[in-house]
Amino acid sequence: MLAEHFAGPRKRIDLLKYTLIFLALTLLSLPFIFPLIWMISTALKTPEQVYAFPPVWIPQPAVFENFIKGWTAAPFTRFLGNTLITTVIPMLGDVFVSAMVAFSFSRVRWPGRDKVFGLCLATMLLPGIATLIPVFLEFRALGWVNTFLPLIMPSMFGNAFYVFILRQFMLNLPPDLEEAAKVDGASILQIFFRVILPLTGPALATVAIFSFLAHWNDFLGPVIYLHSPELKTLSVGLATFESELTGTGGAYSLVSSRLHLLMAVAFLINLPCIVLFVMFQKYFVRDVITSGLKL
Amino acid sequence: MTAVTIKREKQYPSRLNRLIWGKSSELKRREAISGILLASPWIIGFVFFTAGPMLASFIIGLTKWDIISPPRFIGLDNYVTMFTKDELFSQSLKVTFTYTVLSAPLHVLLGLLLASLLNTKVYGRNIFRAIFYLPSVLPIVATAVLFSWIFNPEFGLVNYGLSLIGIKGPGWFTSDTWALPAIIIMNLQYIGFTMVLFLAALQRVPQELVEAAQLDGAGRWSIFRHVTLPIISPVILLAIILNINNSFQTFTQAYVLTNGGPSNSTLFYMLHLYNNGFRYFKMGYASALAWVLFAIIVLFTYLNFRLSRRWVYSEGE
Repeated sequence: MLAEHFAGPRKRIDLLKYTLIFLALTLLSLPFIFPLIWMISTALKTPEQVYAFPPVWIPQPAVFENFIKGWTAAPFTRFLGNTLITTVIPMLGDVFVSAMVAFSFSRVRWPGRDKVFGLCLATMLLPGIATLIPVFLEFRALGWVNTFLPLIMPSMFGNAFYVFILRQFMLNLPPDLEEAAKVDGASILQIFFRVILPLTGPALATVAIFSFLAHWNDFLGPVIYLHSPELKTLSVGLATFESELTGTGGAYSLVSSRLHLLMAVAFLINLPCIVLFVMFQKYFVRDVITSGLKL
Repeated sequence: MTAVTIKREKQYPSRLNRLIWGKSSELKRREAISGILLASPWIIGFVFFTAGPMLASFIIGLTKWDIISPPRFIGLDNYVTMFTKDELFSQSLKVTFTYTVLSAPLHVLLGLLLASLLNTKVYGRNIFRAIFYLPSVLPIVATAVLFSWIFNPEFGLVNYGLSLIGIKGPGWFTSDTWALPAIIIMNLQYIGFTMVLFLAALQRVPQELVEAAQLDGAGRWSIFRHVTLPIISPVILLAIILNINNSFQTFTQAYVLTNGGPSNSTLFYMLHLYNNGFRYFKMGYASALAWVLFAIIVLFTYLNFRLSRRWVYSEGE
């Protein structure tokens, strides 16, 4: 095997090529993995080790207690509850409403359908900034500022990007799937729930993951709409925790005796995203993009 | 078969017609109603969260409104103020443009490079791909907090690394000159998105074309330049537009890390807009600011599409 591999100039060139590519990728991947490792390393240190010079990569001893200390240094459990409310409920809306709309755009015939879908596509390129202030004023007029509703309700109307992903997926399902159901006199809604939705699983999972991450990571929304301290989400809570450590100066001169706790909390907030990514990696790369590119 | 059908049609013309055409048009009508109903959430959302607000935004931009007292119509005064009195407006434009001009091409070029390296049979490519993409799924605030530590002037990892090769690192986020570059470097963590776009595009390049070019004796670079690049050019256009769009709307990093400082060197446009709208409650002025950025982004998108006719290859035209 090995001899065969090295036989001939062509193979030797290939081996050299792949070794070079492998080395290049290894080098390039360092800035993408080391920050996270450094975060974990700092989170496990004692305050003295944090500012040790030269820097220590493997903490001796590793203080796992930091995670508990950091988590309880501010009401992060409450923030977690708030984040779950503003993540899971909108996620359900994003998935089901977008699926419904996508179904209508892909497998139901009605006049003007493709024009409306074109409009939906166009809004994807529209910068969200143009609507930031009037939408805030709308929610304010409804008395919804300082409630979770402004972060939840928009998802109940579907999301153009998710509609797009799901529509592409549904278009690729065999065209005569619903014929049998139609002959049996099933309504469009029954076809959606019984025939199409069960076959859309992978695309629904993709949308669910993307939606979860988008809401979990959202910062501008909670900053604008949630003013009471007890309504904070994890991201905002982390930013506040950090500004408490550094005073009013902003983070740019970050030096604090509680830095290890800040990193511990930051890691805990990252953790669900990391787990989700590791578990469902294929959905990130395969389905979304391949569906997304068939423009 | 045909004969039988025709015979039957002749026999029961009215009943059959009703059966086929009557029922089917009734079905069509019902299908259309269901379809519109199913799509209605998006249509309603479009009216209340996109179209309506955009129109409203333009009108609010013509007023002075502190949300406590009623709005007052002041014509184009907000726009005049922007270009004549508000020094922070031009500063924020400068910061945002500088950032976009440096950051967007970096993302497109590096994204394409990474995707090309990963689109080979190299050992461990799935793990590499995961490593490059992982930072893109993490909360921006957590990454920002981490990088303020990594870029710490005295104890940070970056300046320690630089000291090893005999360079005294700058103050990064504490320096007028280096705060923006630090944000640019930090945001390279989000390259995974662009990389994955390109990776999918590269995987769609027909292998027959590459092999045909190889048979014709074309070298690696020549194949990349004349076969691969034209085929993925629509995706390059998409990546450019999305990256410019994102760069122009950068907010969280500046809000968390520098709050626009030091000396407004990282005052991103979105931050300036946020300050006016949600710190000083100048809703009219902030809406006008939003419209200007909106116009700039739409202009850039349009220009990109126009210019793309010269370099984007489209099949069958």
